[in-house]
Amino acid sequence: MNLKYSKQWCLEMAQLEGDSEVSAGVRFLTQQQESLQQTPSDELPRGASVFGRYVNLMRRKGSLGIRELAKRADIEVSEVESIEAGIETPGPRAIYQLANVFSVEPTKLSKMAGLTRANDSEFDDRSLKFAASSNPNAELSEEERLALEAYVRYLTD
Amino acid sequence: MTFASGYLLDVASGQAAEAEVLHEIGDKQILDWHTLWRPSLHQGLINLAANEGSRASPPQSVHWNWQEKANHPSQIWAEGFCVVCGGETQGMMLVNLVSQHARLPGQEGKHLVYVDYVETAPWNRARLHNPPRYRGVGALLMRAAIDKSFFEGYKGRVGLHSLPQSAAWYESKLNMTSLGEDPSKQNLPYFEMSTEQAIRITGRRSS
Repeated sequence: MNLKYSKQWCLEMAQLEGDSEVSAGVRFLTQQQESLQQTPSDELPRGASVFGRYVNLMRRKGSLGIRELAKRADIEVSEVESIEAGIETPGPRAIYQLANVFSVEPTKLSKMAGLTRANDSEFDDRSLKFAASSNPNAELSEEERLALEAYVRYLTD
Repeated sequence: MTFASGYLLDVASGQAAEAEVLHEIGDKQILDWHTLWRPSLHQGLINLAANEGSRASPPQSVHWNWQEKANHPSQIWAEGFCVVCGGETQGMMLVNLVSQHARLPGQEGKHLVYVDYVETAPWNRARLHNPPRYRGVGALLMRAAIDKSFFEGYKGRVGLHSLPQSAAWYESKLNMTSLGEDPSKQNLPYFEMSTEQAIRITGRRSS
């Protein structure tokens, strides 16, 4: 991506910015303090968000459109859209159907979606790292492909 | 990796200076932070004390360590951006797409680009070095956050916790919506940009 910001826009914004301070972010924390500040329950992607990224990447890896995936999984197009957006926690049927399409154990997808408790910190860590690696709209990058393959290997082992 | 090309205002000459927004905080940025930013901050604090007296409040980001921030384990889902002009790093920003969701009424729970940290080089901050070298670094970084949001399908939504000294920039100049102090984030004021605000500031025709 190489967007072009016009000279006029940049200079107008520079004038607007003037001598403003523009910093944002928490203050005065060392690395150790920042670690302590991290509260997994509200800082980490969970359930629907992780699952949505997984579905999005798997769909793109298979060069499927949303409609095509919905058709293969026999679920509503709107449900696929909501799942990918992380808005909706998928129901058991959708998980089962998607697991079949992606050839993954439904129980693993169920854990990923947060319907069943993982009780497995490694599962959580891998899910979170995987969720962090994806970019919902673009074609799969090499990095995303590798992250997805590693995650799928983990899910299917 | 180049994300965008734009311009900064070179304050000394009054002319536009070509700048690049990179989608990374790489070794060059960390090196610049060590070798250029820190000495400049040191001199800036001396300037500040001379200009405002020994009771002058230092910049609230004075203890930030970008090497730690960029490599911190909690940043595995962060994406770095920086502005480079004249071969030097003029500003840095870390954003992430997963840790926060929209809070604006009617937008609650929707995805947004959350700005974890943003800071400009000390020589671009008028309180530390007057006159500053460049203006417009913050605008370019905010524009990158907005465009990232559109690219991800988040319709321009951006959220951040401002340092109190910077609240006027986000509220009065960028017209972001203030949602008050956030007790979970050191009582920092939280600001959010809606799609409409993003379109207005960038001049986009639609989302």
